Amino acid sequence: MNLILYFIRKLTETEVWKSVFRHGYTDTSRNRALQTISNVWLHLHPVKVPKHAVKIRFTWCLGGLTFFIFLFLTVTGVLLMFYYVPDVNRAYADMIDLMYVVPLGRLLRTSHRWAGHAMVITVCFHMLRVFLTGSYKAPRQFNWVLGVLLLVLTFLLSFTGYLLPWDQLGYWAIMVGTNMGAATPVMGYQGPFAELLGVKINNDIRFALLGGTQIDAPSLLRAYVWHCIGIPIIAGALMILHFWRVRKDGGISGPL
Amino acid sequence: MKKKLFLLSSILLLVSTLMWVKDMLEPEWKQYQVEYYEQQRKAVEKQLQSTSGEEETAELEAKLVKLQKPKYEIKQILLKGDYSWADQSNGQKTDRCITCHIDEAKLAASHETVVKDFPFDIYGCTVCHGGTGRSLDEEHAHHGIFKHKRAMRQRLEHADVLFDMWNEFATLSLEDDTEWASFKDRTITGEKAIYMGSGKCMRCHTGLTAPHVERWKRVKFESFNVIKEAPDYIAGDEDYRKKCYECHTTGYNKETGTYEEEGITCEACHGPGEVYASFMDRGKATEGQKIAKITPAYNKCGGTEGCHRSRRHEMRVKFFRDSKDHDPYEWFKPKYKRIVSEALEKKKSGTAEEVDPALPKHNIKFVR
Repeated sequence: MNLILYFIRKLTETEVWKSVFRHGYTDTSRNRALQTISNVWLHLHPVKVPKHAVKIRFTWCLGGLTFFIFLFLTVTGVLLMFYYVPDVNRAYADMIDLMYVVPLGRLLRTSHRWAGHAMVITVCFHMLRVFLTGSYKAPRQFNWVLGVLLLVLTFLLSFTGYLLPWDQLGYWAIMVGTNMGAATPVMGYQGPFAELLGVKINNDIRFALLGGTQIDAPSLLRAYVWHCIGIPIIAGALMILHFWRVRKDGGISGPL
Repeated sequence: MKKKLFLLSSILLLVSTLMWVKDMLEPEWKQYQVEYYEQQRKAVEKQLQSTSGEEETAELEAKLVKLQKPKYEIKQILLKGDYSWADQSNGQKTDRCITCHIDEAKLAASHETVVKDFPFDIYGCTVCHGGTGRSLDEEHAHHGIFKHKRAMRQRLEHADVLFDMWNEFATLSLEDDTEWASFKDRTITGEKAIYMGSGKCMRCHTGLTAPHVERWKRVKFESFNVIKEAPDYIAGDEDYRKKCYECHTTGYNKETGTYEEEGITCEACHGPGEVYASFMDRGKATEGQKIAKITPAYNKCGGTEGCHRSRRHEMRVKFFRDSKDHDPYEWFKPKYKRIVSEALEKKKSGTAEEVDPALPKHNIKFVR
């Protein structure tokens, strides 16, 4: 017993140990705060959690769920990128192969798809909860704006991911979606003011989304790059801001 | 309450995880392979009991050892051809049908009419049968399948279906320069199309396309009747006659040496009528026309394969050269014979001053 304690003391006195665990276990308020703040991983959590914050029935943990699903989608998405090639001649075949030939590939693909649907649902419910509890009011009005941007980005992630299987469902969904873009005022060639501003089929928002005047290889590549790189990076950056502002705007909202 | 809910959801997660793992280890297709290898093993065991020869027994035992530990795996046929999006196709094709339909002997037996011309490992399955070749579960793989010949024939809604299939045959074929026209004698089941006989065509076309029909009926339809009276045909044996059949009959089969109809009738140029006749019967004449009008693709006229190739009657020349009883002109160039004899008669009777200078001069010399 003494030997074990001796080794533990020896270990905790080493330079390496002290570099990692910098603040010991002294149970004072200050030390507990230091433990959290001086660790890059732990500092993501608040030093102190108000009692009402752990009550599930106020927030329903919807924001947290959304973020968890986002992380899950990132992991499964990266795994899917190992098998999927965004080439019009291969995309659909790759997806079928994923379903039938890759071990647990079907689980990978279906869970990514269902999680995508789930994220849209939880993010909507999250917004509804924030609205109903009045948590968008000052001082949290800026975070509400960030939240709206994140909602739009979630929809865009869902939209761009829809084309990637390159099946009939996705193809026609993108056809409808981008044609709606074409009818948008100012930005689309079919919308109001298009002629006035010289917006044509080859320079409007639809052209930007499709990379051409019709759905073809560039559209798939654009959807892929936006889905896997562009939007996740922007959404991730905004999420950092969003979570940071939750803390800075008075902690997680609770009952008055 | 909360604990029970937690327990329940944990159990659900565990069960679903186990189901996924089971699905990975025991896929749907595996049971077919298990069944197949089991059958094979039993057959070999039975054989083993009845054989006595030492060598044979050893061979069968080696086979048995292999069958006792079979390797269950996905089997696939990688199909040739560039199926690009630009051609409204969805990428490289792969037929995995043989993963479940694993008994090749059984397949060969049920495909005996086509397996020789379209080996499974080159042409795959989906070119005729449809469905999703990549897929490995029954519902998805058999979606839009043409299971029997009846279903395949029902697929013939318009001529393009057939043309598309010929095209795909040409793509899949191992020889690079194969064109769709090489498969023009195939019907939608991949078998050789049947010759319907000119009688079927005549039912409508004597009235419909009278000048064309009359012209051909008078001359080329009678072609076989003419050669039937030719001395070299009568004297010749079956091998000699086969050379006549090649051009003077309809639907001559080089392998069997048989023909479908005497004389150069409709289907000699328009191709076997099974598909287009059925289109016309069903009131889809315009679709039938598309197929019947690919006549030039049959290369019946000239070239090296067609009937009007040079030196096509060389063997006849030899016969008449050797024979002393027959006037070569009478049988070999009856038209010239007639013109010359008419001209000579006129000269004899004195009605005509001299032979028409425009008369074609024959340049065929017979050395006796």
